[in-house]
Order: sequence, then C-alpha cells, then structure tokens
Amino acid sequence: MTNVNPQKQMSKEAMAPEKFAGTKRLDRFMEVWRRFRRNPLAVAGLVMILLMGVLAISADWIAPGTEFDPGYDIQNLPARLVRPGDTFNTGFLDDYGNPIYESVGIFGTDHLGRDMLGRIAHGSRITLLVAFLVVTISMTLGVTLGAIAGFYGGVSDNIIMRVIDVILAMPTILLAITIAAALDPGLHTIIIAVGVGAIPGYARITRAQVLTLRDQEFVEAARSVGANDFRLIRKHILPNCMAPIIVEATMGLAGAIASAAALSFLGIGLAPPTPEWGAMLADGRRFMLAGEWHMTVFPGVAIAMIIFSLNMMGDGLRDAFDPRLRSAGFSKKRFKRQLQAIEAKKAGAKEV
Amino acid sequence: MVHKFILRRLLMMIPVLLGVVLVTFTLLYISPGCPARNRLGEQATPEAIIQLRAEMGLEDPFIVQFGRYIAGVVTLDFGNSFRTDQPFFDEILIRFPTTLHLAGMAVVLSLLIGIPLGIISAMKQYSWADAGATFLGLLFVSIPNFWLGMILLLIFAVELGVLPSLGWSAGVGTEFSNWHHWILPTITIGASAAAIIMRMTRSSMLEVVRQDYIRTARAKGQTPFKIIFKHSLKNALIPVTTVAGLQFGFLLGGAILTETIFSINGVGRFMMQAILNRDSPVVLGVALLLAFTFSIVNLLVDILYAFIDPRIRSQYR
Repeated sequence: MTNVNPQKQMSKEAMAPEKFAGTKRLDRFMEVWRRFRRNPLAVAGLVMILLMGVLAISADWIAPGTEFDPGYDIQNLPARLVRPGDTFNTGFLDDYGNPIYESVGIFGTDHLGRDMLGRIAHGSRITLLVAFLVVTISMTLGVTLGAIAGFYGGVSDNIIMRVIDVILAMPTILLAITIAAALDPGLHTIIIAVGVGAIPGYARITRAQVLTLRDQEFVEAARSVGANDFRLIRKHILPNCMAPIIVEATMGLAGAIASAAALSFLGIGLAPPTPEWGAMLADGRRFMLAGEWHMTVFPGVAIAMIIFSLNMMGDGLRDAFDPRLRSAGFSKKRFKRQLQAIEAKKAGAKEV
Repeated sequence: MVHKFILRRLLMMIPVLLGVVLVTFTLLYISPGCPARNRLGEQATPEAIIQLRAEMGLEDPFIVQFGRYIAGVVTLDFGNSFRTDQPFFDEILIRFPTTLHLAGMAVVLSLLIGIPLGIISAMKQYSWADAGATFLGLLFVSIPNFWLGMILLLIFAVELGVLPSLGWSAGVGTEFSNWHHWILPTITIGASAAAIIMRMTRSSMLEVVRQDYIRTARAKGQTPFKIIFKHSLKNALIPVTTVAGLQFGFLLGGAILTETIFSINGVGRFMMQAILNRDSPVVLGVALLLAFTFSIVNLLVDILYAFIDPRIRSQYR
C-alpha cells in the first residue's frame, strides 16, 4: 500500500522537522480520508448525514412558521390523522356545493393535523443539537478523566476508575431516566442525562491509550526538554490517541440520538409540542393499534436512518484509521498466494 | 487460587454497589415531588403531609436517611414501596422472573443467530454473504429496539392480527406454552443483541484467522471444518462471551422500553413507574438489583473465560 521510499521520507523529516509539522498532520488526514473515501458504505453514511443537515437547515423553508405558531406546531384539525396520499374534507364547499378535498404532505398528518414532514424536519434540528452537545460534553469530560487516570495512575486512577465503574454498573437508560426525573425538564436535562452515561466509554479508551503511550521514548524526550505534564498530555499524548476517540465519538452521536429518543418516548424528555422524534413516536404509539401506521413509521425511519448513517461512518472511520483488519482473510486463493510468497522467499534466499 | 480470585472480585463489588446506591439516592433526594403528597392526594392538608413525611422518615437529614437505607440493605430489608406499602422483595419476586426470562431468551436467540452469521461472514470475507450479513448487522444495531417493537406490533398484531399485542407475565410451567406472548418482545430485544454479537464474532474471527497457528494448521493440511470450529472459533469466542455477558446485563435494564411497548409487567416497567411516582425504595432496590446482577454476570463471564481459554486458566493456578 505504501510505496513511499522510507529513506526519502526520513531525510525530509531530518531536514526540516518544524517546517513540515503541519504538512505531516495534513498528510495523515489525507491518508485516512483516502481510505475512508474508498469505502462506499462509509461515504453513503457521510452523505446521509449531510442530507440530514440540509433537512435541519431547510426546516423553516419546508414548514414555515406563522406569527403565532412555530413551523412544527401548525394545527389543522380537519386534517387530523390523514395518511400519506389520502385527502381530507376541508369543510368548505366549492361553487357547486361539493365539499372541497385537499391533499396533505407526503408523510401525512398527526392527531392534531400537523404535517409530519414539517415536524420531522424541525425535529432533526433538536436531534442533531442534542447529539452534538452530548458528545462534546461527555467526550471532553471522559477524555480529561481518562487522561488523568492513565497518565498519573495510582490514587487518582483508582478514584476515577471506581467512579466510572459505578456509572457502568447502572444500565445507561435507567441512569438517564433517573437523572432526567431528578432535574427539571428541558434540553439541558436531556443532555446531562444522556451525557453522563457516555463518559465511561471515552474515559476507558483514553486511559488505555495513554497507558500505552506515556512511557514511550518521544514522551520521555519531550519531558527531558522541559515540557510540563499538561503540555505532555495535550501536545504529545492526546494527538496520538485521537483515532479511537474519534470513532467512539461518531458512534457516540448515534448512541446519544437513540438515548434521547428513548427518553422522549418515555415522556421524560422535552415537553410537547416539541417535535422530538422520540416524542413523535410516543404520539404514534397511541394511534398505532388503530392502524395509523404513518405516525409510527416515519419518525422511526428518521431515527433509524441517522443512527445507521452515523454507525456506517463510524465503521468506515475505524477501518480508515486502522486498516489492519481489512485485506487478507480465510479465502483459499489468498492462502495459496501467501504460501507461494513464502516459497518464493525461500527460493530467493537459497539463490542468494 | 480460583476461589481467592472470586472472593476478591466479590469484595470489589461492594464499593461499586455502594456507589450505585449513593448516586441513585442523591438523585432521588434532589428530585422534585413528594411521595407523601402522592399517597395522600392533592386535597391533603400540609399538617397531614408533614406528619406522614415524618413517619416515612423523609424529614431526616440526608445522611441519616442514607445510613438507614444502607443498614436495611445489609439485613436484606429493602423497605416497603411508598405506593403499595408492600415489601420491595415481594414486589420484585413477581416481576424479576419475567424480565429474566425475556433477557435470557433474547440472549439465547442472539447467540443462535449472531455466532453462525458472524462465522460465515468472516470465513467468506468480501463475499455477497458477508456484505449482506454486515449490512444487516449494522442495520439492526442502528434500529432503536422500541421502534422495532412498534413495527413488529404494527405488522403482526395490527395488520396480520396473528399475535397478541400485549399482556404477558412469566408463570412457572407456562414459559414455553404461551410463546406467542413473548415471541415479539424477545425478537425486539434480541435483534440488536444478535447484530452486536454477529459483528463481534466476525471481527474476532477475522483477527484470529490471521494468527500464525491458523496458518500452521492449514499448512499441515487440517480440514477447514476443524480449523474453523476447533482452532479459530474457540479463540474467537472469548471477546464474544464478554459482549454476550454485557448484553445480558444491559438487556435486563434496557428491557424497560420493550416492556413499556408490550405492556409487560417486568422490572423495567416497574422501575419506570416507580421513578415517575417518586417511589424511592423501589427505585433504589431495582437499581441495586440490576447493578448486582450486572456485576455477577460479568464475574461469571470472567470465570467462564478460564473454561474456554487455558492461557487465562493457567494464570490463576
């Protein structure tokens, strides 16, 4: 895969390490991006996430609000529970005395006659915002705690990891529910409730990474030229353990979306009429047994789709960062090729 | 040595469980809402509420209440439910078997589906079967299980009308005869677990088949069947066991949404109602029970390791 001449690379670094520091980082990024780009599933995930972003941005255009109602809460009672493709009786008569029928948005309307498409579009804003904030906060806390535990070890490690154990011992969703019930409802409560359960993942990964890195020679070298602990962790250790953290964060976005939706579904998330997708599913459940399938199907598809895209992207990122698990395998062809290569090597060695 | 290891692990559980109780207790302590008012109703006079609060011990300082609870737990007295005034132990004994049954069935289902699919997927890497299995695996990891449950209900209970939509609790002797009640909840919970186990089996197998000892086995002409099941699978199953154990613990608590959707009278739904009613003894009890089960399952998995992997077994000799 790498056909870079090692000698050439080395001389480049030896010549001007400072000058090329930025380029090197960019090179690494481009390398990862090149591998990522080759993975169709991962690219599909990225595209779907970008589309979701477009949906969130254009929500006000899809469902414009009025002076009195935000775009997601425009009720139209004659049009309640209209399935996609159906029409509803507006209650008005045309010039010949026939009732006027109108069609609704492609996803139908809910039990208050609100357009499902508009609500899903507005809901994507909340979903993306919650996911982003949860991951940012829990990642910052988790990485900091993990780095401290891994770098210093001893008592601080013990204390931090025991606290992490406690959080891990409680099922994530139950922890989130208990926290959400204790604080007053709102966006910040959801973010805290979901975020606390996500901290252990980052902390454990960071700690494991820091443990393998802290005694390596480049850290020793930096310490010997007078870098303090903070600088060592921030400049030398953390940049080297970002790959698994980025993968975890991508998956964490998916997890945060699922947990937030679950909380809202159980009715302890955001209060109505917020178009949170989980809350919309809870509405859908009330009308599900009556056969109003569209209220259950569409918000759920939206949730599943964004989680699916994020997971695809996360898988792709993992493969791009760590390509070891790709290539090779159990196939007979490859095995034969391997054996041939070994034979060839032996033959070559004999000739020499 | 082994029993020493187990004993040490059991002792290590104590601070974790204490921590779980402390966290839950603090959260309940700062929760708005008053259990005494819930019990007496909206028309209760302030004097009556204060009197009942005093009787329930809610007027005491935090540390006294916490100490009292811990003292109770040590003597296996988990208190009475604020709502029904029944001992927590009796209440949970009705519900725990149901959830245990659900989670157990789901794990069995996920192992039966996940491991074979994972093996096929890894052995035929980059084939259509692999692509399909990987895609399905990722899909079912991504679908929130409460939504999957609703979709299953829509299909099988509403549209086709072949399965009942709600109502089930485990009874001794009826675990298998009333399968039509628990089949949908089991699939709902088991699908994502199966997907996770499939993904784990696949990546673990891929890791193992790259090892030198597999190449040695193939080079000496061992049959593929034996290589897969004897040489590879035994080593590949170790991380899978961990995941399966974690899943079981996770499912015990995570069944909360599934139990809500299918109206199953299990631990998760019990907990949910208790949280909404500020029924502290029940919330604390369930949190403790789930954390305890989770820790025990993890311990069992670690002990199981020793049976699967002689390398680990030799460490504890």
